[in-house]
Amino acid sequence: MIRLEAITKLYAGAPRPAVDRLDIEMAEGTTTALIGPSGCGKTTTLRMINRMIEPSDGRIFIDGTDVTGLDPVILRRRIGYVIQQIGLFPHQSVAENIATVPRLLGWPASRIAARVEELLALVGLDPARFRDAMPHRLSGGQRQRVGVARALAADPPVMLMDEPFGAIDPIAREKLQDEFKEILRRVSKTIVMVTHDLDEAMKMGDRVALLRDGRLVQYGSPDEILSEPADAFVEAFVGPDRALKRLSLRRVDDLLAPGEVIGAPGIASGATQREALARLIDGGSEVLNVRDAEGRTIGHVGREALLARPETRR
Amino acid sequence: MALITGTFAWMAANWQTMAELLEQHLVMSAWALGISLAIGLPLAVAVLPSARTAGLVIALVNVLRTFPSLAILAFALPLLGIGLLPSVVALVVLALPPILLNAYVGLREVDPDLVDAATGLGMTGGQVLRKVQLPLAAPAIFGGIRNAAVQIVAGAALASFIGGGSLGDLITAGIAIMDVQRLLAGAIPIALLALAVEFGLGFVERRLFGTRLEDAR
Amino acid sequence: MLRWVPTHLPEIGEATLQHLVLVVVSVSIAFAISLVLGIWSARRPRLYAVVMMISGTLFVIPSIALFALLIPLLGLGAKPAIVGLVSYCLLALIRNVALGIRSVPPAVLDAAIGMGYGPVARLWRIELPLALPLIVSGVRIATVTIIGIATVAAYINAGGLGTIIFAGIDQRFPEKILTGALLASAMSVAADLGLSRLESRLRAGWRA
Repeated sequence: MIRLEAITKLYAGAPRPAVDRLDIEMAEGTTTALIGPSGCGKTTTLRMINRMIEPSDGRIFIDGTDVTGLDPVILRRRIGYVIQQIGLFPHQSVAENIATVPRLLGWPASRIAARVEELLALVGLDPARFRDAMPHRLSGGQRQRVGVARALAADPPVMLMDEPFGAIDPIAREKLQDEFKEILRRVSKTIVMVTHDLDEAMKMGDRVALLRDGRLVQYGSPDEILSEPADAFVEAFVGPDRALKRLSLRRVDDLLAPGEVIGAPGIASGATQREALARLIDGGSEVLNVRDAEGRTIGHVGREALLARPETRR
Repeated sequence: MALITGTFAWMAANWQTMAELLEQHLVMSAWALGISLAIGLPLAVAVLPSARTAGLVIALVNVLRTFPSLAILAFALPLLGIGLLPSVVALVVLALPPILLNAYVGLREVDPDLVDAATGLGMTGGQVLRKVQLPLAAPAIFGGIRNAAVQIVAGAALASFIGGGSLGDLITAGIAIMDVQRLLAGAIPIALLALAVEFGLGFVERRLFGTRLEDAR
Repeated sequence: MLRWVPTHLPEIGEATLQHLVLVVVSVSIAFAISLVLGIWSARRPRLYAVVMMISGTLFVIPSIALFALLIPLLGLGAKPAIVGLVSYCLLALIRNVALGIRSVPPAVLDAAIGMGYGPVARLWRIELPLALPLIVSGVRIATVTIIGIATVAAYINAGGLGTIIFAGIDQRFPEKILTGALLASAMSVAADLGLSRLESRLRAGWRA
């Protein structure tokens, strides 16, 4: 668990604090997306957690320990760190890059080698092919997988990710987001992620913290942010299509009605409600049959249900 | 042709003198290179954090560079007298600019994101320097060393003007008594020595960093 | 402190002038050679590699050795000095001429060919003007380099500021060494500044 208490960063000569008495608590094993317009303090907040930036005031607790008093070097070895530019060391192989923190911690070579294999497999890179590859031979997506593997190497309870998909081209980005979501779910870390992309925040975050001028404007699940914007600023930030955005957060399976409607077109289980709505509009039909991976119909979803304003969870 | 065979005959007849002068030349050069590395590399690291200090030091070094090598050697004479010491000091002054500038630029041009990543992973300042900055700046640093080594070997030839004792002695003596064979017995080895240093270190450079330079493309 | 300088101004002036002449004559001859070799080799990679190899080799030979090597062929005096200094200019000059010509964007050349420029007109009206800033930069590097080296030429009786420095060494007279050194340094700073300014003015000229 990470808890920020009245955390503040005031740069010398700046008219107002970059981060202003921020209180926020991030539950263990969840992903929190920090989002907001540029200059809102999201990156500063992230970088204060591993003390790449020293807070001017306030305290930071990780699992109950106040880290503002710890040696920053020791602290950082216990926190995974992934940056937008990935920052793989170009003079070191993929394996050496991943081994960075275990080496700093003085693990024995055999343990490091085993861990590298394990991590490469975890992030979906064939160890035999990639272990000895040099970073510049990799695609952007492969590099960022290595970047995440490197951050996970010493199995830190906390991971910080600063725009982790920023250097990935838009086409590959969505696929990588899906995969990372799956990887991160499997390792169950407390993750703090900075992004400027609302869709990304909604997709990756269990909770989304919206910042403005160094202050927390709203903190809640993606659904809460979309359905109940705290103020006009949040409403403007999430945009006029927030209803559609909510549909993309939900699965057709949530609206499943029993039985098959003969003659209706089908949609795969797991598709978003937004996709279902598009399919309906496209096909001019009223109902879609929802099918599982084997093609069996497991129920149907109707236009009414899709367009009904869902009650909000608290 | 007669001149060349004559020169070789002279070299053979005076091989002991030749060997002695070559040794002096190399010892002087080695001392100068060693000392200038011992000063230049730590200095480059030291000025790295402060752009202002670095700018000042670089400006100073650039002023130094406008002075002719001959003048730098000549200054050492009234200041430090005659012999090995003043020559070595002067050669260090000659070699410092390329070593310092290359090392500084090489270190400074290491991608700041890599330094950020390394720090974020929990490396200390010293570890970032040793494991990330120095290895990545190595090709630039080596280029500076090569440049400096060539300058030193050439400068050592001039050191005979201030009694430094080197292969240059044969040239000064040769000109003084207009003995062309003696003159060439100095000039040819000096030229070959400089070329050997330049191309030899160039070869080492390609062996060490060649694949990295190619891969970067 | 200054005992010698005030009473020997004409001598100092003459040495400075000699030095300047040595440098200007050498750079001019080297410029003519480099223009031909640079243009010829600019778009011929293999020839360019050979030319760079030779001029690079010449550049590495220490000045005192090169001058000495020239004595059996050319004797003492300004002649071997100028030949030596010319050879030190070639590397920077040829490289920058070739780089300058290669820096002309292919689209510009295409357009020139399309508008009916012949090879000579293209070179004269398009490539060389566009290459000019880099060529000037080469002249600057060559000039600054040989101003220092030319002091050594005094040892083979070519005159110049080196005469004052060598006199200072012989007589253990720091004031003479300092005078020669400072004048050479001032000359190279002046050449550097003047030619840099010309270079940036040429570059700015196109943007306007």
